[in-house]
Amino acid sequence: MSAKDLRAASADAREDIVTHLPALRAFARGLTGDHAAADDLVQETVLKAWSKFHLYKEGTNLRAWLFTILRNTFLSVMRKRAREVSDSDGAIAARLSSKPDHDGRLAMQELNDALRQLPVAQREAVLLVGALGFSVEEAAETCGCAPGTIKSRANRGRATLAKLLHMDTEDAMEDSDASVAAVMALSPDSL
Amino acid sequence: MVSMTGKNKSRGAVPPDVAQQIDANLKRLYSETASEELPKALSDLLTALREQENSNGSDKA
Repeated sequence: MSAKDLRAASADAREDIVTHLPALRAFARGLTGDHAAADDLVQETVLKAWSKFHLYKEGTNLRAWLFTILRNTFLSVMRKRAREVSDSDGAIAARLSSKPDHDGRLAMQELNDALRQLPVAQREAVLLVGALGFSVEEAAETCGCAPGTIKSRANRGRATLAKLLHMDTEDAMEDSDASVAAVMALSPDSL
Repeated sequence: MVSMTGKNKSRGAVPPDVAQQIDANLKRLYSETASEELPKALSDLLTALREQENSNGSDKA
């Protein structure tokens, strides 16, 4: 294949990036919790992916490759902002004091806020596997870790979300309203 | 009084039905994003990248 053909082929393959943008935006919103920051992150990802497309191995998982770029970009921004991020855990937790609606739907803003409370490693695992339907293997490829690690991070993340959102994990499912009310009436110390 | 000792779930794991409920809510939260149109800044960026590509690769027949 001549250099010319190669370039033409990769230019076409690059167009596949576009098909992954909606999911990338969703992932970015989940990570950042902020629409504007998420769109900046996606733009940065597109720029990097486009200019480094020669590093992508054709035939391998493009979605995982793109999500890895987004994730790494996010992590480096986080590192830069490490100081500011030490933020207001207490304030956010204080707002998370209501229980799910009767139909089990969570207020979306609360879910979004609760996600912010998770360590990034758990947040990304929960987002990829829980929200975006990645297989454990694909999420592991995206995050550069073992499938078992993704599984346990996702489980721990869900457990923390359940706690923050007052989805009682012991008897809420049998008698949701009564038991959620009972749990909410107890102070954390008495549990 | 509600018994809190009914089932001893191991720490760190949630029952499958709670996990499912969480995942369903997460999917709902992000399915909207996935069906939105791309913001203008992003489509402009793509247009610019394609144009750049075309002018760089203008030697292709």
